[in-house]
Amino acid sequence: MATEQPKDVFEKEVQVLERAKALLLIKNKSVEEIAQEYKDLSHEYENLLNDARVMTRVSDRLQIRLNRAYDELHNTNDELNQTNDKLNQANDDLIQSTEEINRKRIVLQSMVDELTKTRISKRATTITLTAAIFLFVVTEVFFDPIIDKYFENDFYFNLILKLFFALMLKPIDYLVEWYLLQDIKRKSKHSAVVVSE
Amino acid sequence: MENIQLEGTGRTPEVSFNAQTGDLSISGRSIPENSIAFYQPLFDWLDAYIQVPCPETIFEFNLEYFNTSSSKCILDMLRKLEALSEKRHDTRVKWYFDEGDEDMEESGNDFKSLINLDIELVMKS
Repeated sequence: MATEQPKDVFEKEVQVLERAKALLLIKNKSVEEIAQEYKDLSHEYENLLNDARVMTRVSDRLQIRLNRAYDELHNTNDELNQTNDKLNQANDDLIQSTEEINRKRIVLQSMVDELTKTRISKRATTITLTAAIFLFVVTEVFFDPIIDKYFENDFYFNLILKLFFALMLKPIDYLVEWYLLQDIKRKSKHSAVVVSE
Repeated sequence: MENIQLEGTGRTPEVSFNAQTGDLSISGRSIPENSIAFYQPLFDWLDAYIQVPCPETIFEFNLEYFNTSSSKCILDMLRKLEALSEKRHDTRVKWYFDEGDEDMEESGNDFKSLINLDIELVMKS
């Protein structure tokens, strides 16, 4: 293998040119020798011309191929940009939908809370009314004979006592409602813990 | 004489030159930054091979892409094979191209028109 590294792919052609230039400096060449050199040079020139033709065609094809690849890349890039825009739009729509859902969820939760409160309030009222009936019966059966005996059937005392029981109904209603609400909250909390587990 | 076996890279082709069988091939991409640095050892090998060639030499070009300076190197290799053929050695060249790859087919035809050698254009299935 050769040890000297050529400078470029036209090294051989450069050598031919240098040889031709060197021949111009030689004065004592015969006509036959000059004709032979001219023939060799023509042959090399023909080869070089043919090479140049082929290389130009190859190069042109490469350029067309590169342009085609560039156009394809450009088109693909445009398509990617369009897809990206669509994805961004879809993402914005999704965010808006999520916000809308959250808003509706809050409204719905508020309605559910209100409904629960109303249901509990009704239940508390029922319990309070039951307690009132129970107290009425108790006062009539147990307290009235005692009042008759010890307070000589004092009308005002009787009235104040019954008024006291009547006034106690609202705090009882409030306490029952508060207890039922706490009970519901405790049960909801317990359910959430069970689901998360 | 040693054989040449080079793995292909993203820029240089795979090369397999077997002096014992006469099977020579170049395949893949040929876009080296310095074409002559890559091809010169192959030229030197071919020059040595031409001195003691096999009875039959088959050179297969199976390139998918090559740059302009590689095309000059390909021409120079074909000229060396042409010289071998002129010595009355059985020398054949196969130029492979993919179906639909008109560029590579036309390049093969260009080389064929320029070199006085049996160059067969083979479409890969």
